[in-house]
Amino acid sequence: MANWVKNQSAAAWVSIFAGVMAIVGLIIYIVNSTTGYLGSTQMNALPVVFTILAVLLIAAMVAAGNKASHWVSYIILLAVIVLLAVSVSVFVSTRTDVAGDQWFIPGMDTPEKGACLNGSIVGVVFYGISMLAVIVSAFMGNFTKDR
Amino acid sequence: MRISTKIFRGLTMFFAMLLVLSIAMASIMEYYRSSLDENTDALSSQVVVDSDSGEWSYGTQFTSVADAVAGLKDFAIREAAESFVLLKNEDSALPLTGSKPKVTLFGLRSYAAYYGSTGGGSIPDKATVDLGNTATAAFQAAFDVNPEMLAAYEAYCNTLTWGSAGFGAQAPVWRETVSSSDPMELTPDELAGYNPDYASAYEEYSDAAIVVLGRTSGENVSFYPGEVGRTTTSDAGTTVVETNTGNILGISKEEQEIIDEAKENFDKVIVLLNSSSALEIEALKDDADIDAVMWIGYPGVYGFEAVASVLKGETAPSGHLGDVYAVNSALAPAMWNYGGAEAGSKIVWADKADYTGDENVNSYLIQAEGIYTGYRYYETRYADVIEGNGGAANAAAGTYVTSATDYRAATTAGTWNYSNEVSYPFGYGLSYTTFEQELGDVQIAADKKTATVEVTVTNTGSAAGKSVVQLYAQTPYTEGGVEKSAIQLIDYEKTDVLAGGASETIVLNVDLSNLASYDYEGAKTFVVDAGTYYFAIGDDSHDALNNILAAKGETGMVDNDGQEAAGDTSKVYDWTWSKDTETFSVNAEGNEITNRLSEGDYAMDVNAFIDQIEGLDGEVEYLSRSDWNGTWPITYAGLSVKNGSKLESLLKNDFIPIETTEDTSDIITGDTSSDLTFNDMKGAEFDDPRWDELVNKIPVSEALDFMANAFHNIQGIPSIEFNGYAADDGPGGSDSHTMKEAQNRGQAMADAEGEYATTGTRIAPAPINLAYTWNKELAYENGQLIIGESTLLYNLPIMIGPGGNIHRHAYNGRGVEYYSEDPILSGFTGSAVVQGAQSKGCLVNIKHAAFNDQESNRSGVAVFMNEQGARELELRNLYQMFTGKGRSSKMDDTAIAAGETANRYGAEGALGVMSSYNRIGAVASSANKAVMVDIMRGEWGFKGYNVTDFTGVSLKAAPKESILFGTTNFCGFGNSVSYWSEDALRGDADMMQAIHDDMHYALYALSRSYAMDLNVNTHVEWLMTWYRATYISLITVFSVASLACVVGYVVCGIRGKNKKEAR
Repeated sequence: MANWVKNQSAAAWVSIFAGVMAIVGLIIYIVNSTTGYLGSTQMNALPVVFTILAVLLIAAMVAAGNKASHWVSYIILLAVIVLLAVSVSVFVSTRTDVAGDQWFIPGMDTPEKGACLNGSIVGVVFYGISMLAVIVSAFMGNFTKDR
Repeated sequence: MRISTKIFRGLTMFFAMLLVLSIAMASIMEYYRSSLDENTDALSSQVVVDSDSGEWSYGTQFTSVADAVAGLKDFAIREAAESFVLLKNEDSALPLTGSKPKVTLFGLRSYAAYYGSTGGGSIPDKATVDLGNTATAAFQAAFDVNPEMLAAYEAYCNTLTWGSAGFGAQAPVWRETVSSSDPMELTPDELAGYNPDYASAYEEYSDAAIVVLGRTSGENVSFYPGEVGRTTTSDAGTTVVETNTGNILGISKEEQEIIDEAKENFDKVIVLLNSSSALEIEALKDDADIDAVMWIGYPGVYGFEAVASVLKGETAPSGHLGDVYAVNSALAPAMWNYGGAEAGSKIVWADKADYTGDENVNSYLIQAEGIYTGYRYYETRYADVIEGNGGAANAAAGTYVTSATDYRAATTAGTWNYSNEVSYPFGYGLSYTTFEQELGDVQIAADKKTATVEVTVTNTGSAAGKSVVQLYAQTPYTEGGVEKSAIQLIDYEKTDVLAGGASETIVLNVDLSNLASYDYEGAKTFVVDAGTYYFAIGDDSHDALNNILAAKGETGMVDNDGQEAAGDTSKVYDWTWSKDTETFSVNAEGNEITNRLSEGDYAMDVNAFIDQIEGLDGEVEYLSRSDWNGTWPITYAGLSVKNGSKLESLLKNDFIPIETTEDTSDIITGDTSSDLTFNDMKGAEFDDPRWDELVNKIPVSEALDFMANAFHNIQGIPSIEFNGYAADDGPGGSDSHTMKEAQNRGQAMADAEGEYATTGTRIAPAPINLAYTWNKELAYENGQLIIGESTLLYNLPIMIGPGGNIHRHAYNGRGVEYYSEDPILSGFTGSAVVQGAQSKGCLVNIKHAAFNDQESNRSGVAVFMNEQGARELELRNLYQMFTGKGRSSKMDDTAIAAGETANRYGAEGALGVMSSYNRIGAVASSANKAVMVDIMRGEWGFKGYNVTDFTGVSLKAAPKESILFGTTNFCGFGNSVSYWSEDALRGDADMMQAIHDDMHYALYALSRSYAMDLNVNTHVEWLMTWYRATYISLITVFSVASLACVVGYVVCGIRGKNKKEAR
């Protein structure tokens, strides 16, 4: 285990960080979609599936280290960023009606909608950090240290 | 890994992310394109004429934008001038004499006037004001105006922000001056801070001081009685305005200071009331130094030209109050149950936290005053004082005005005195001349359903003017029987302009069903009781009542000023009927009327849920004239719903489960075997069998898409070749379209991009002003021009309006959009507007059905009342509008056809309605079967489009229940329920049939509208907008960048590999 930790490059650690951020964003999405103002509505499952897939791909990439060719890593990273971007897009688009009520329609704002939107913003921020981390890791090179 | 490879890899990820987000942004922008268009001045589509030889049923009466602007302006000024109500005119202080009197304007609203509503669908057109049509310009054109005072207000306003904030159209107001808890008046000392010489020219401009007092009004505006309503809390701290009645509608200390300044320096003081809410103005009435008071309401963007015209006597005032002006409106019985948590009121569900946000459970409104709102309360109690009934003279502490000089609520029990309670009665209004009205022939039809009443009006003065014939009725009341108002308006008509000495005979065609009372406990229908019935004409409701009391041999009556009044028996006609529970149990449409709102899940009577509510100490008792004090409303505070009760499930708006296994094979959808299209249904009657064939062609997915996307939008239905069109909010004209889009039958007007490109149709006085004209013909013209021409000029087949709620009391801040407290004045005005608009091909949406009685907690508040109150007030009002009742007897076919459009007045009722934010009883308004199905479609025969009020397919609109009960569309965005798909609904036969029926309703209504013209003769083309240009550019750039990076990565990767191999 200690060797595995030592072998990981900075790119791997940033990717792991991206995965963790995505998981946090996903948890917030699920909680936000199933409790409070949106508690009685049907949650869109796409972000759940896509985020889990993205995290699994990150895990696979890190686990594979330099065993995977840089071509494979490239495709996986591209898939991860697309999956995360789609997830956050769905996250946002399913809150636009609430935002319209809360911020633009006089008299339609409620504390429940406000809380829902605040939670959503936090979730989107985590997804944003995750995507930025993926991009940063893409600039950084291999996932295990070069010997 | 080489650096170049890393860079290309990183950039690929970066641009790929931006590409996906750009695509998502594009999707969201297209989804909200109607809102983006409205709020960013964009135009995303336009209709294009297919051929010059089209088949058009409708067409604008205007030939150019300049013609339209001039025509609308002419109408707006005429309407405004007829709406002003002269309340006081001592020693003929008005009209002002001379060609250009020298006047000094006082009051912030003399400069920062309210042209109209400050929020919602009747906001005045700011662009027109920006072009120079300001109150100041109108005053300066008519008068020689004191520049020093003007300079003070101008200097103050120059420190403020012009134009309201928020979503939708901007109101022409200085933003910081608009408050429902503070009139924002400046004192003389404060004026000196903006112009030290403000008082230096009084002597020069001394023909009159004109003081303008105002209050805001609009969507989401509420006034509250007492200190809470006068308190403003902001970052700057808390301020409390002092007023002479203790309420925000009273005269504030600052306003009194400015009035006193005028009184001290001028011989002639005129006060103008720039407010739709009834201000508490007994002090102005009593003040001998105030010579004249005139209500101008919200006169519209050109309306101050009319104000000046009336002040100078070029036009005589002929408006009459459509609401009672109480000395202290907060003491009306309706005020005991009003508001929400924000006002410190306790009428919120104590257990509201037990519900989710989407269930939208907040407060309730138990209207314990029964039928006694507005003048019905004040005049009935007065009659009972005169006749010695019901202990009317004895009032409990807090329910009456202290004295003739102290307008606040009395703190001890005492005597109820009409003169202390009412400043100006319903129907009141003076002129510059005098009229004599003579009651002529009265014929009551043997079948009791109709009557004709002749009234001859003679101008007995010298000035020319118009008079209003007001016909009132009294029905026999028996203690303990069905509640009856001692006086009620039954019909009205306005004369033409009568020169001095001239006469006109008016014939009123009276619908006697409006006399019937609703007996929800006994006969469970409309009844007339045995006894003597009275018709009376009068100058106002109080005058007519005095005439009736005189005919009954009563004495002790007082007039509006508290002086002894004898009454005039020659203005009264009486007859006797025996009790009849049959005649009015069937309405003019031939449909049976019986209890719908008294029991069951859809009851409005809270007593139907008595065993499911905690906190009620016995049944709710409704106010009765048999015992005024004993039945005076209490505030029903702190109620909650028993866990597991039916009421709890009703409040959750999810109470009819969807079946999943029923055989629905006989309900055809998506049939491709027919060639029928929407265009083939032009002129088709509702029961034309081809409608089934057409609707059968529509796949469920298209039907659901059409239903769900109705926010200012009519979604296209490809399967029947129906193109989508825009719709817009009213009732004061188009909320978001301007003359740059003006077309005539699909052809752009040549001057559309000219001088008036940014102006619109929201130029008329506020809807409340229209009602105060008491002119049915003018109301019809308003429907034609303000709503109907918005449809034709801007290609908007649906316009949301007119406003169809009535005034429950003065404190609802949205009274501006509704007509009156009286169902006949409101209903007949609205009916004429509907018919006028529909004559132009507009599919009206009467809003809001029903009982949208307050703005506090307006979305979700559960409105309860007994069925008599519902039937005799709000529903009687809406019934007139829905069925085209109340047509002016002066309106002949030629006059109606003047707009070169078809005369369909009353031949078909309203074809569209918008339900309300509030609940009707426990459930969402659109899900109340009793109102939406049994009454609206069953009793009234409504066969049209029924849309929710800015509520999409979400739980708070109870979507599946609403569809079952006739809702055809949801004015919102998309859906957030789990069952919005064919798969989820296909197994429920009732739902599938309801979708079929609702599409039939909606398409029938659209086929009668301008949508049919557009669909037959034009096609829709998409236009490039700023947001489309933005997202297309972004997607293109990020696509190219992503691709380039992929190529770069591949190239670098291959080169790297080759070099490695070379080494």
